[in-house]
Amino acid sequence: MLVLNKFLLAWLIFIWTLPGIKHDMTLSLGERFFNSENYYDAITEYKRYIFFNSEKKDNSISNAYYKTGLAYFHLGKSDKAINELRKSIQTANTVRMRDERKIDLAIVLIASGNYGAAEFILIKVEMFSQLPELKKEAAYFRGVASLYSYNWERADEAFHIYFDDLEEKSQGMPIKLESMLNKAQNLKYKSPKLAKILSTIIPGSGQIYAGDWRNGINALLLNSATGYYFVDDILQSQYQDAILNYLFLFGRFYRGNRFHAGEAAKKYNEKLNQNLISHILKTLLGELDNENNKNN
Amino acid sequence: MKHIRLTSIFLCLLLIQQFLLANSNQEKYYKPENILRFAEHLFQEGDYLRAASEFLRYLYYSDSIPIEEDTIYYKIGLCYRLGKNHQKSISYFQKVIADYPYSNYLDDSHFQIAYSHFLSGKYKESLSFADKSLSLIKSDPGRLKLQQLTGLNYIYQKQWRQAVDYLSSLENRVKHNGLSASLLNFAKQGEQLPRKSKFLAGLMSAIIPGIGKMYCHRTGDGLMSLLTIGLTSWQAYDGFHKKGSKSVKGWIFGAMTAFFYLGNIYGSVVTANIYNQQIEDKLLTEVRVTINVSFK
Repeated sequence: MLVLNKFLLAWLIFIWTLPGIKHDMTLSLGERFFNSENYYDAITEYKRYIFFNSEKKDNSISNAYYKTGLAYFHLGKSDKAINELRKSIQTANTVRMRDERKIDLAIVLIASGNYGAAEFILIKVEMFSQLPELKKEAAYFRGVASLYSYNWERADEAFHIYFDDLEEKSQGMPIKLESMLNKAQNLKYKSPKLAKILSTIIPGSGQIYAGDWRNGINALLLNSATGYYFVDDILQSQYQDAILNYLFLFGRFYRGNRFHAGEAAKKYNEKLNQNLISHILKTLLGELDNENNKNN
Repeated sequence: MKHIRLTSIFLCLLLIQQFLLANSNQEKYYKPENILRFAEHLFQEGDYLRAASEFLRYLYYSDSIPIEEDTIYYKIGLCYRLGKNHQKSISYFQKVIADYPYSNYLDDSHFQIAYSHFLSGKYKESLSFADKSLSLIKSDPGRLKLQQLTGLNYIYQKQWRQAVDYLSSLENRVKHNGLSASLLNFAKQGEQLPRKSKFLAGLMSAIIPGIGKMYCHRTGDGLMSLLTIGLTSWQAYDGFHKKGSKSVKGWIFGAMTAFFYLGNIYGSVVTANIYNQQIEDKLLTEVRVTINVSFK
């Protein structure tokens, strides 16, 4: 009898650990669909779970909203993902879960290019969360959001918070990262206004100033040739020819040259920012890997 | 010994309870009436394509053929129509008509098929289906909706005269219905739009270059054409005047003048066409707002 009793107890424990019985059936189905990247059906099952269990007070509803949000995000529907993640925050029961979800929401916002909103949420977590590790995580992602919005100063400040708060064995913000962020703050951008002014005075010089030598020389040659004929027509009092030349040749090239000078400067600045961001992120990931290795 | 027996019974009961709980969970989610509730919820939420799948699941899970099977098929059709899958929606409405000759949704299904054709931009199909269905519709509101849709199809095809004739020919009771009156009003407005004559625009530009474009309210373009053709023709005249028919300049500018002159006439005709399209599209936008409110 005692053996039977032990056997029954063991079986009961085994049965409890089975996912289909321990967890809710539709939730397990949702998980399976989610794990096999069948996000559309996963959403259906999570929605079914939420609909039939809305009265539940545990965190399972929040989890279901959270996974629905992630599934929508995988399907490329950022707006719906953000909506579901907000619901997940509203239904979370514990402070930790609420703050974790807020950080996840911020990550989705960063991924969908909504940096301002992401920074706002992360600042709130940093200010009001009672959990130091989440405050730190929020600072990290705020740094990433600031990087993408090219706000180097704010990114520097956020990464300082993140690295300075690490355990004692850490030596604060890595020197390499610090120097990159300092470099970013002192980046020498090309002014689109100045590029336009330069090209107004000497066609093509704005493009050359923005580093686009090929188009600069091209603009200089074309404008010199057409401009020469235009001035020549005026000097020889052939005003109709001059007007025709201006309307169809020189005027067009000259206006185009000014416009493209501004665009070249903007393109130069964008490239500069993107290169730096990719270097900083690479360094950051490297540092995080080192940190993880140290901890392990 | 008695204690051991009691524990065994307790464990057995616990085990049975676990199985019952698992089964009740499954029942909760996949009981046909609950699937239907969930489908209705998804429909209310605006998740139409997922709702359509759940309505289908409901039919599949039902042990016997549900009494309201035609209603379900109608709702599936509606889900697909609202989910903008018009081809599928038409097939489900056709099923209601073909398989349930005594259904309450017969009239509505006729309307929905014609409306689905209309929404997918197949106005001729919509018109011909509405025309065929009109004699089969029994209820007055059903006939009214189909007649309004017929009028709407004429309007969307920009057949303003037919729209006015058709909507005016309706019985007084129908004609004085709010939506019918609005449609008639739109059709009359469409007929009386201040269109520009393509022929006149071309003729005007043939007499004085650019005037045809000015007549179509494109003063800037018109002045540019006038200036361009004026200058090139002056250059051609100048060349021929100085060197006679052997003037290269005369021939080059003469060819340019001819090219610009013909282009200016063609451009004026196109401008008149674009102008007419723009004012018609502006009116159709107003019609679209009205039908979005009235047709569901």
